[in-house]
Amino acid sequence: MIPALGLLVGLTIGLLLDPAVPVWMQPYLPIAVIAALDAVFGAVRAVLDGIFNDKVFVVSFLSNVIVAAFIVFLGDQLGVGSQLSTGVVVVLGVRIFSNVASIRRHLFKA
Amino acid sequence: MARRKKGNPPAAGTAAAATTVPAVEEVATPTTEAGELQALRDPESAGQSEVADVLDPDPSTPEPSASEPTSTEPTSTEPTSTEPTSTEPTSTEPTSTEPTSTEPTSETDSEDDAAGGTAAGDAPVEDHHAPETEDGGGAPEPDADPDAPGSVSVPQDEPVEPTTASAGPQRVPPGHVEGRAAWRRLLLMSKPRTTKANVLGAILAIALGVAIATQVQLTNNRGLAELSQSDLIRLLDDISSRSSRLDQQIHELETTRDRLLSGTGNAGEALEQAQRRADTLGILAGTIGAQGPGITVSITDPDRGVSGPVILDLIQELRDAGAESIEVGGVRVVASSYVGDSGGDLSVDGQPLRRPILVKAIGDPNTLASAMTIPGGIVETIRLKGANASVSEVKSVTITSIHTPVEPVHAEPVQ
Repeated sequence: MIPALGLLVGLTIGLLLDPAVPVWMQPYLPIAVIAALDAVFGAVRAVLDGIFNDKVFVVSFLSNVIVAAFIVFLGDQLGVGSQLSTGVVVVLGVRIFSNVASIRRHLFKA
Repeated sequence: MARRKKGNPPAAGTAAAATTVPAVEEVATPTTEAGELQALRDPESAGQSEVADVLDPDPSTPEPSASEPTSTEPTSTEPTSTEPTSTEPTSTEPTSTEPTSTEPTSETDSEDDAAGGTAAGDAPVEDHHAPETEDGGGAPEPDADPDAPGSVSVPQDEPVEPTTASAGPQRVPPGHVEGRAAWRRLLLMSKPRTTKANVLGAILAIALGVAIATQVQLTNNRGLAELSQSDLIRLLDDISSRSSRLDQQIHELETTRDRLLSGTGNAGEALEQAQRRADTLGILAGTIGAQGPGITVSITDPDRGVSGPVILDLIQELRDAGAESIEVGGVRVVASSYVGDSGGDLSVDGQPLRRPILVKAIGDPNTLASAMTIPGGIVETIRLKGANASVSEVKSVTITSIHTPVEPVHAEPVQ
């Protein structure tokens, strides 16, 4: 409940304040968002699997975001930023899908 | 806090399972026949049956509640409720597991007042579990399995390949729930708690929300600065080609405008020049009247002593002095003019010249006058002939007589 509320509050804040994203951060934000979403879905699934752990969630959330941003950064440095971003998005997308599929099986038994 | 403890009991259950695995494996082996994943689950089911075994003493309801906080009970019971689903169909000791499954649910009933719900939920769980695992044999199951071994220590959302490799047999997490129980657990999990990690999670959620909203807005009002390089190049290409096209158009239009302007200008200029030229030629040819400063010479010749050559000299002198238009006795003097003299009867261009002779000339008055009155000049010559000539400078001489040009018969313009 608290995370869901937090998400709503965050969305509202973001929409109302419309904070300016620093230029250096702009390539990493979308990837970080997707990585964080992956962590969130993973957490929901872990709850349903009965193996949820707060600490693990926080750590995995942060590490997901950081690793995703780092991969994009590395790609930028190597000159394959856009390709690597695409790759990260694809991987995270696949993970999100599999997590959601698992959650769906838990919740709807289908 | 409660969550922590929830995570722990399964761990304890698995730990306990490890000790008694062999005994349960016998029980589980029949399950392998059910499906390959069931085989993978053997240890897990073993662990769960272990839990069941551990809980077997539980049938006395107070016991578990005494040993563990009440809030943890539902989750601990749920695994047991799911456990029989895997073991039940094939397990050799269904009777032993059955009661355990029912009894924990009765516990949950008492605590969660979802008595009918859980009881009803249990049966479907069993039904649906088998198909689920069968179709779950694809992608998601392997993901779920790696999480199981490290249930507590391994991040829940990261499939840990090495552990799966080392673990060999994979298991379904002990806290695995389905259907209504899953919803109940979600609800339970979403109850606000004040753990440090929970607060951190909330903060992370807020950060995620802000990031999503920001990114969405950033994408929506994407300005030129956020466009990718290829987009910018495309834009630049488009704009430059369009600008060159417009430049060309401007050039064409300017050329047209210049042509039109110069055309009208030329025409006007030409007309003006032609007019001027026509005027000049008209004055020279004597086809139009002329006026301007000049002199008038009046010759009184009572003795008729002035002869033709004198008049010719006079005309020649005037021309020499720069006269632009000359009239003698009312006759315009032009290039083809001639002076006739037959026994004292003078004529110009065939027109008889009557005395006194009046000569008008347009030009610089001073020059003309001095040319006339110069010593040994025309005036003196006339006086020698016994006549009298008077020269007067006039500001404005008007010559209205015109010469009618004759179409040349022989002469033609040289092409």
